Amino acid sequence: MVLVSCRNCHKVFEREDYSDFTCTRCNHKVRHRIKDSLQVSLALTICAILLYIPAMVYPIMEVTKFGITTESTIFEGVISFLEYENYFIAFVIFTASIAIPIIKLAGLIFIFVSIKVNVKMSNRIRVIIFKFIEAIGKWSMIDIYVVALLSSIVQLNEIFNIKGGIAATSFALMVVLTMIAAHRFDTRIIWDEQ
Amino acid sequence: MAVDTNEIIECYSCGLFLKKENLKGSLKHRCPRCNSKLDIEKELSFDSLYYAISSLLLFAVLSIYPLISLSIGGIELEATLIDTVFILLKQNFFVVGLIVFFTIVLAPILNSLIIIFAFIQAHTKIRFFTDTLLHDGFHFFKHWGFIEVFIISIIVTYIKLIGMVSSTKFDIGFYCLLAYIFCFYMSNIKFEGKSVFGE
Repeated sequence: MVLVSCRNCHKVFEREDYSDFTCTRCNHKVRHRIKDSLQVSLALTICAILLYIPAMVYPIMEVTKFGITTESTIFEGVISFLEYENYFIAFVIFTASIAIPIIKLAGLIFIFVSIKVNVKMSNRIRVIIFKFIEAIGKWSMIDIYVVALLSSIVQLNEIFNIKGGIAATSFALMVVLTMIAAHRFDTRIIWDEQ
Repeated sequence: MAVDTNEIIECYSCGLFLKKENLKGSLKHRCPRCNSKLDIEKELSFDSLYYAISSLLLFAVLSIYPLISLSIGGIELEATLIDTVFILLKQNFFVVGLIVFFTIVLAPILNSLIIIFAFIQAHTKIRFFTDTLLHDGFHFFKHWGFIEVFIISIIVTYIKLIGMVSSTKFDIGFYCLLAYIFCFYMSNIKFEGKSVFGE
């Protein structure tokens, strides 16, 4: 006899084997492990990496002052805040929009690869890294919200106007895809593989 | 030998099955193998209902009032929560607009509504939704509601604007949002998702 639990409602069942069945409490399909968890999460992470490139290369914000429009990428935004000695904002934007996405993407790729390749690291550490990635996931949205807030406040036609840039879409999608990738990943397979 | 499955929980980080009785006494329930926090069922409190109702009322108020306001050359400019979403749609950022709308408006509202509906269904014979839908909906909207990220964004926006326009100030909506976040968090902390199954 084996124990299997419904990941959705957490009801535990005693079964003959690990074959799929329907949960008696929530009617969801109960599987021993999430189907193709590693493959789906890896695919989503690769998509997120691809989206991160245009998010960094293209402008995220367009500022029009007295008819002159200037576009700035996320990185240019951080540099300009440093030049104006606004270190706090520069730190927040750098952390949320540059550092966190890189940490998330690199961390996820590392965990996925480390399952298949022999890496000398305890499973506990891998789980801690994963939990950290999961926890910081949504904080990258700060820049998107800031652009939305600035765009909604500063609307004085050609005198002073702030508009979102094309990088906003790829950046927002990158954040969402990374979160889905992390959510879809079944950490229990880390322990199964050892 | 048959085991009492009601007395067993699984650690969803490492897949280890544990007896609940072995966890009694420890203040923080952690998995002995991976040290992850275990999802131990807590008692459902009516407080979550009151907090959910309060958060919905506060949300209605903060949607009306501006979050940040400033004055440039005698012209008053302000941003409300709804403006923040609609400006993106107006500027043809449909995907971003929908993501922002979902994460800061729809998900938090639906999260609170689900808590209210769960209480109505648990204490009356009225059935609006299936138990599974309420349970899944609660966890889904809890996961995708980013209102706490939004409040940090408002503070960052304020600091950015104050460098350009000194008359920038937080408005009533922002203070309502602070109160809203408190109620919203408390309603989620006090609510037990599995309680919708009535077991």
